[in-house]
Amino acid sequence: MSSLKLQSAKAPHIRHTEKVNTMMSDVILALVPLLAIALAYYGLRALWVCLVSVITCDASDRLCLLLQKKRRTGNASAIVTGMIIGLMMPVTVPYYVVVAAGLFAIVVVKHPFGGLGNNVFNPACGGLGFAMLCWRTAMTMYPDPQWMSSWTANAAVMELSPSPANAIMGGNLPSYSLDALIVGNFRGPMGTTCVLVILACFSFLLVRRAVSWHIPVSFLVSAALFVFINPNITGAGRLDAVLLQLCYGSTLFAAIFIAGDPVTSPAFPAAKIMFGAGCGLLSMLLRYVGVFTGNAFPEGIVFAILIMNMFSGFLDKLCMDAKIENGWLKRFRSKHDAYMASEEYQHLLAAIEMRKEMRKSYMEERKERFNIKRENRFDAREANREARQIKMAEQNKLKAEQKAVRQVAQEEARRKKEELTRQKAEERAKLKAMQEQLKAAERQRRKDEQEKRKAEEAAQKAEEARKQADALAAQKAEQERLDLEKREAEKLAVQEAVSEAAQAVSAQLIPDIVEELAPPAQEHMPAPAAPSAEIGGDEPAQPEDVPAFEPEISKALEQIQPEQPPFAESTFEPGSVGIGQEPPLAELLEGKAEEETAQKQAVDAVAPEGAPMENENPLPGGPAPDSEVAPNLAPAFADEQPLAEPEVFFVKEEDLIVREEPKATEQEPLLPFEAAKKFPAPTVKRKENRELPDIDISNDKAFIIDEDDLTQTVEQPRTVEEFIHADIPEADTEPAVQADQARRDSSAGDKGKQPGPDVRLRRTSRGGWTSAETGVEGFRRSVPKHRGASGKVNRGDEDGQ
Amino acid sequence: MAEKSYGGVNLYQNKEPAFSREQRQLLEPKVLYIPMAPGADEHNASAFLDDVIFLGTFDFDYPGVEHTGFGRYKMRAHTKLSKPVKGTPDYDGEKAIKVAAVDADDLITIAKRAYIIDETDGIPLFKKLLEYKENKPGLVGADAIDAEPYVSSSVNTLLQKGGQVIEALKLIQEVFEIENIMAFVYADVDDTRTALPTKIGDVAVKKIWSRYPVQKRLEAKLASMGFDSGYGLIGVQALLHLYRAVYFGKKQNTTIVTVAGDCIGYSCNVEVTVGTTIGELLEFCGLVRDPARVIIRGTMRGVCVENMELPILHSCKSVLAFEDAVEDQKLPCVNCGKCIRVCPQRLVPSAIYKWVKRGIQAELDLMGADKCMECGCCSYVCPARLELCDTVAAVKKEKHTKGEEVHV
Repeated sequence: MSSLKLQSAKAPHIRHTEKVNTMMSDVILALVPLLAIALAYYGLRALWVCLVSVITCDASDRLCLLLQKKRRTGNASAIVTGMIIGLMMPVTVPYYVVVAAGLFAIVVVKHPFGGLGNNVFNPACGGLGFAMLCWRTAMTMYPDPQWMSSWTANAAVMELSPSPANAIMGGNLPSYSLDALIVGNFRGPMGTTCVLVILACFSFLLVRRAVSWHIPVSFLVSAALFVFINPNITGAGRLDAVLLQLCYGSTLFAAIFIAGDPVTSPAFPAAKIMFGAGCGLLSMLLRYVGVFTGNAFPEGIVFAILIMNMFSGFLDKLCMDAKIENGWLKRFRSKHDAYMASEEYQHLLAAIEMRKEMRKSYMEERKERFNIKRENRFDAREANREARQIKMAEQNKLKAEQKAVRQVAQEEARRKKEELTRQKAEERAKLKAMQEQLKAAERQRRKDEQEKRKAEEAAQKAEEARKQADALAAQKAEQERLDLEKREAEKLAVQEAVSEAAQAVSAQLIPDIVEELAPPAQEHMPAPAAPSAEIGGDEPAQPEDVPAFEPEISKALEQIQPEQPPFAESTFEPGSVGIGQEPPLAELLEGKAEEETAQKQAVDAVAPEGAPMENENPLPGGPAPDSEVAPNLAPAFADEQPLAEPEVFFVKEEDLIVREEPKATEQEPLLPFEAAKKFPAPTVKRKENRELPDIDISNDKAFIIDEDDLTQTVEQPRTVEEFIHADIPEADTEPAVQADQARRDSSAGDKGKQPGPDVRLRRTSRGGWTSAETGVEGFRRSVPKHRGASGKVNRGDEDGQ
Repeated sequence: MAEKSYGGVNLYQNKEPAFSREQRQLLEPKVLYIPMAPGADEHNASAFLDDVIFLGTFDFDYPGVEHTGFGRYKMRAHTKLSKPVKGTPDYDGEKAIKVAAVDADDLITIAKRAYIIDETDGIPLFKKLLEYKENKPGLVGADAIDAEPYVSSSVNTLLQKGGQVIEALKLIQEVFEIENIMAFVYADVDDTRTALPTKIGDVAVKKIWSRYPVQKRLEAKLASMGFDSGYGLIGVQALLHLYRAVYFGKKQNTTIVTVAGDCIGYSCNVEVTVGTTIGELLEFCGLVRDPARVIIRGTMRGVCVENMELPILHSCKSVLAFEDAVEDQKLPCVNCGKCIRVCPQRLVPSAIYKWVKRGIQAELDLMGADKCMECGCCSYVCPARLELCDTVAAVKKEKHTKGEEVHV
């Protein structure tokens, strides 16, 4: 371990993959498609021009490094410079111009300032500017591009003419088509015309982060804005002018590949934006106004970038001062403060105050001078204001009065309306009440009529009955009288003996009893006389047994038994209709012994015979007098009836419930689907080894390959049965299944259970099954499924039994 | 726009496979090196390592440690010293016996006696707890933010021993009556196979989505949650050791280290006895190739180690071994401005570098180099491979020392 040679490095120990070389190679990669386009448009000469410039730049770069004794660290910046110089030139340019530009770029612009990273001006730009100034016609006359037809074209033969950018510069609208504009099929520097490819390369560079977006975007936006605000092309719209200015010439190319060079542009994003904006404005200005050599350059953009390169350091400094503490802004502020504290500033302040005072005094004078006029003016204004105010007040008063009047009228109208409505309502109510009264009167009348009718009928019946009874009574009375006369003669003989005996008995017994029962006896004494009084002239009806005793004894007996009231004592009322003679009749007919029946009959006698009792439910067919009761009464009964009903039902229901209990115990277990309705299955995912499909061995044999397996198929059924019937504890079952089963047990009881097979099998790799407990492997023969309510295999039934 | 951005860089976090693997234990090393107090013959290593034999003193230049004296120790064969009191090294299976009725002072003394050191900043835990006792913070968070690539010791600990960590956090909450507790995890990790939890127990795990230096983003997030300054962060390992100290009476004599890199055979998180040599740890995980660089304490802020005999100390979160050497190629600055955009402290590293190289002190003083947090972002992005971070840190250090001199 100690033999290892470990390197010491400084943090961080991982680095981003991007280096300066990768940045340069990315730019070269982005320039290659443009070179290809140039090849396609102008033939092989484009390639030669590029090659010459690249070789010149690279060789001079190496030479310079060699001269400075610097180690060349494999940077490709010189190649980029060479390629840019080549692509920014016309194809027909003489080679010596190319070489001169490349040499100037590297030897004059780049290395004297310190090489890569230290050069102030963009080398490619410098070289191009040098060439433009020195060989103006060679650099600004371009041939027409011919797509893929000029591989071996001779530069000397080509017709040369200035680029359309020149025409734009003069304010003339060249004939152009949008397709040609986008594809780059117009005269211009050989690699800078094809807008589409340049934009594609730009996007590539952005993705690779070799170039930041700040400079190109701000460049193009500022240029476009400048052109949009003051377009100089006659016959073209503002937007067309913007398009033409940006596409013709090498504006786009320069914005992306030359201005975006990191070395000669500022580092801060804000400074980059300022730099780009300055480049764009300057380039357009140089197109509009000729500055160099008395005539405007179509490729003035090169000079614009060179000019802005000078300011890049300054822009960086600005941003840095804004950023760092004690920076430029703060220093300026401190200087400002120092100046404010200086004497010079105090003098200045004093002078300013003097000036102010003078101004004040002058104003006062002026005021005095114009005082009178002002006062007059003020008076007039005030008078006007007062008049206006008075007017306004009057108007307001008027308005208020009108409002009040209106409100009063409205209120009155409202009141009237309300009264009317109230009256109407009262009338309606009265009418209703009248109607109701009328109806009630009618109802009452009907009722009375019915009652009268009833009474009349009853009276008629009673009269008839009385007449009949009178007739019968007369006959009977005559017979009885005759009988009595006979009997009296017999009695007289017996009376004497009896009276003696009776007197003896009464002397011994009665007085005691009479003393005890004296008060009730006194009350009841007149009662037995009443019927006889009512019967009037008729002889008092006596029961058959009574004659056997003397009247005194009978009276005494009646006193002894006061609990048996004389019949119809309560029911016989003076107001009752025509029943005066019925009780004696009934008594005679049925006998005195059965007093209860007599009482009943007495009650019945109030109503005609056969008529049902009022409290009992009336029969529809019967000749009930109630059936003729006015219909208004019927609903009253109907309302009363339901009150009794619920009690009846309640009792019944209870009975039912009580009866059901023994049934429930006897009930058969729920069928699976019924149980499922009652106890919905718990939402537990079924495991595959739980749900066992019925598999025939014949099907399973298809999976068998080895002989061992075949032998197993023969042996296995026995083992399967063994573990099928073996007791397997319930511990592994899931809680949901257990709960389900517990519910089933409580509901269904033990009756529905059968010794279900307890199966827990897993599928083996051979296509057979293993039991989880024993690990016995085998094929499963039609294992009877015993499914519970939840649709799962019923397990653990053995515990219940 | 520039005001809202926190700078920083997107780093590809090569955390797998150590991120998802189970922790291993290297608790019985052959030799231990433990730093000695200056002037002392024998360090009080026996305070937290029960049975060791002192073999003598050695001098190492340990990066980040001022004094160079180390005591060399050997573990006695018959004792399992580094293992916990009750036998098994993993505390999950054991029944925890809580010290009855811990109050704030008890917890502080426990942290002090157990030698618990916060691995995130190297501060002893009891100092932090003392601070909490004096000024009650609104939030105490378990700091499991591993923003540096390859390093996953904190997250791994939280994922695998989260119960213990959260238990300790709850204890702190209970004792110091702190309202909120949560855990913080760096979530801007693409390549992991393990999903980060949103909750451990009933403690929320806040995910920090951010570019590499998390500090600013974390501060902003906490400020948005209403904790501008009243919060405290404790490293996950410190919490783990606090739990062990409270419930098992164990001192901190181990630390959890990520061992990773393209030379490591089985890269994983290892619980190592403090003082174990780096070489032994690398052998324990298996070296597939000979490493050219061995880095401790993370890829972005770590240190390259040349001596494999150096021990692993408390604040060492990772040991990484890489096969490829650093390119020695140095290019001049091309003024691309990437370091300016990336710096989370809004410094201008390229300018500082320039002034340092040119030796212009007046300009250098203006640049505010003492604000640098040494995150290493500027060096990471620099296409010219300049040692920007190191230069700025040197300037910062120089300024600090100057300031001290002036004050004296």
